[in-house]
Amino acid sequence: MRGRYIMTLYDTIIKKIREMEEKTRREAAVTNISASAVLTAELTIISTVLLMILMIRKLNIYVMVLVFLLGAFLLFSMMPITATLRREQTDSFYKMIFYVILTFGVLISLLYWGNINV
Amino acid sequence: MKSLIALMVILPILCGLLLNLLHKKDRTIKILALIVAIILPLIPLIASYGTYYFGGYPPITENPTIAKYLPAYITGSYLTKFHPAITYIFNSAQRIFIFILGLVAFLAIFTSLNEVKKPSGVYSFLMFMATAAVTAIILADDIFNLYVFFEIAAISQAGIILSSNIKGSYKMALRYLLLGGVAAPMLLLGVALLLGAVGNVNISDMILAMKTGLVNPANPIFLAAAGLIIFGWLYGSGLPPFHTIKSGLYSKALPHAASLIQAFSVFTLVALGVIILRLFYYVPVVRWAFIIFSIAAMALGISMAIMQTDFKRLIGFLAVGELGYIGIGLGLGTAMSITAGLFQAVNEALVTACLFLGFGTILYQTGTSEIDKLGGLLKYRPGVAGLMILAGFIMAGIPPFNVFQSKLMLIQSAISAGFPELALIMILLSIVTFMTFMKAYYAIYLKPEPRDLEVKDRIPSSTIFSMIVLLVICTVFGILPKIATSQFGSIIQLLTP
Repeated sequence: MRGRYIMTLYDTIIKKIREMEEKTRREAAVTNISASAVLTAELTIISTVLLMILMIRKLNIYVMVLVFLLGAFLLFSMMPITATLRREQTDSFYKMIFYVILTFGVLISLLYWGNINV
Repeated sequence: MKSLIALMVILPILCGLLLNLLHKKDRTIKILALIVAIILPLIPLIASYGTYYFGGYPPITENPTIAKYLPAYITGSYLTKFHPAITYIFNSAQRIFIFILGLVAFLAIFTSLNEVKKPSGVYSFLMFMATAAVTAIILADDIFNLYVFFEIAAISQAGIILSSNIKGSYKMALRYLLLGGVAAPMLLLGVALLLGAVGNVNISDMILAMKTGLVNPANPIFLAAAGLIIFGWLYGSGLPPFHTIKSGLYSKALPHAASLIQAFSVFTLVALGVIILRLFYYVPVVRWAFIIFSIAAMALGISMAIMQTDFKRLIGFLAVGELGYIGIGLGLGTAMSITAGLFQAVNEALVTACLFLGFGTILYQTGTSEIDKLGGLLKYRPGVAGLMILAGFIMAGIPPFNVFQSKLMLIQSAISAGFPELALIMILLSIVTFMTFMKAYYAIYLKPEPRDLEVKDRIPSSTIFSMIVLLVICTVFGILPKIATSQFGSIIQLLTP
């Protein structure tokens, strides 16, 4: 059952890579190397985010458990994340400026929140 | 010998200006650029430690002649400790940073001069100007002076990309400048807020004013300034959200220029990062911001690197990802983590420069950076392939090299600081870095050679020389890490209570 689930996930990722490459008008075939690269990136992102969430325990352990469960659910339901990530991290100036403004907002909120709570 | 402190900034600026004027006088440009490039890493080695005052004089406490003629309400106040001049501080940490920056600059300029028959005076000018600007950023104890050189460094880097004549370089340079048009004014606004609150732009004076209660550090103005300056720091060092543009910038530069630009990013990250931590020592969320942005850089940079099909972009993303290790070291804030972070900065500047130069040899041999179009290069120059795999091993943190030592120290310091999760993240991402490099190495050197690939057998000997020099230093720092780690005492003293 688990094996079938993993294969379905693998097929979904391969399908997404094909779609991505079609969108970028690339004719190269999906090779074992490119598939394993995307899978590695996928697992790297998921594990890093989940490990990062564990650091919330320094503030509150219950909040950490809640965020961890929520984060795990969101990450696994949004798979494959790397496809979206790759699409968002292009050289498009509009996307860059969007994330620059977003980060600025997050940074200011973080400092404001930090000031009133730490 | 204190005047040599000023010379570290003035000499490359003067040389750059002269080279610009000498444009088209090829032989003179080559000789002058090479002589100054050789001198650059030597000056920090012979200069004495100390403080240099530009256009002013030392604090009144160090100047009894002036103090004699001043009223008691001045001599009895903290004003006597303030620095009425643009101040440059040169200690052991600055020595090693400027030496490594100078060395990378020398190797980049040397490689560039040897690769072309007709050297461009303007191109060399930009490389020297950016080197001078980043040296000033490392030395400056004056935040407005730092901002000015921060802008010069950004503009010079965009100029280097513009001069590379690579397809798409104009667009990339323009995008970098436009994003700089958002980030740099934020940094300037942060500086202006600090000036407004303290009435001084000298960093040591600002900290003195905060610590002695002359100003109230809890004033929200300081917090706003912290946010704005951190935002400028993200741009200068290429941490998210600027990681995409920074990796793009590396990929549109010529390999020797990319090796120099990445060193600029590394030392801007360290210099401005240390200043932020010194100024906002009392705001714990600032250190958290360092850690969060660093993890984001590592995760995004390294996971994007493994998916790249262009090796220039791949190494660009890897370079951005590796910056995160430095940020984590600074963010953890313990003596060991700061030492490890600073050591990682030195190591990364060396090994990434070597990798950029090494990937440049592939570009030189084949004319393409598309990994899919490459293969079987091992048989042409096995020696260079050997140097490349060594550089890849070093970047991933394989013992006994320098990056292994700094990453091990970082992991140990994360565990000691009570963050085993951070240690796990660093181990995981080092493994992925190794995989990324091996994937590219296999595709370029080991897989069968495509039929339509045309390969030149010749590689400029200057590139091989530069790679060997960098790898030798990496090995020496790996076997004797104390040579580097014993130099960071002055910074650790400033950052730890």
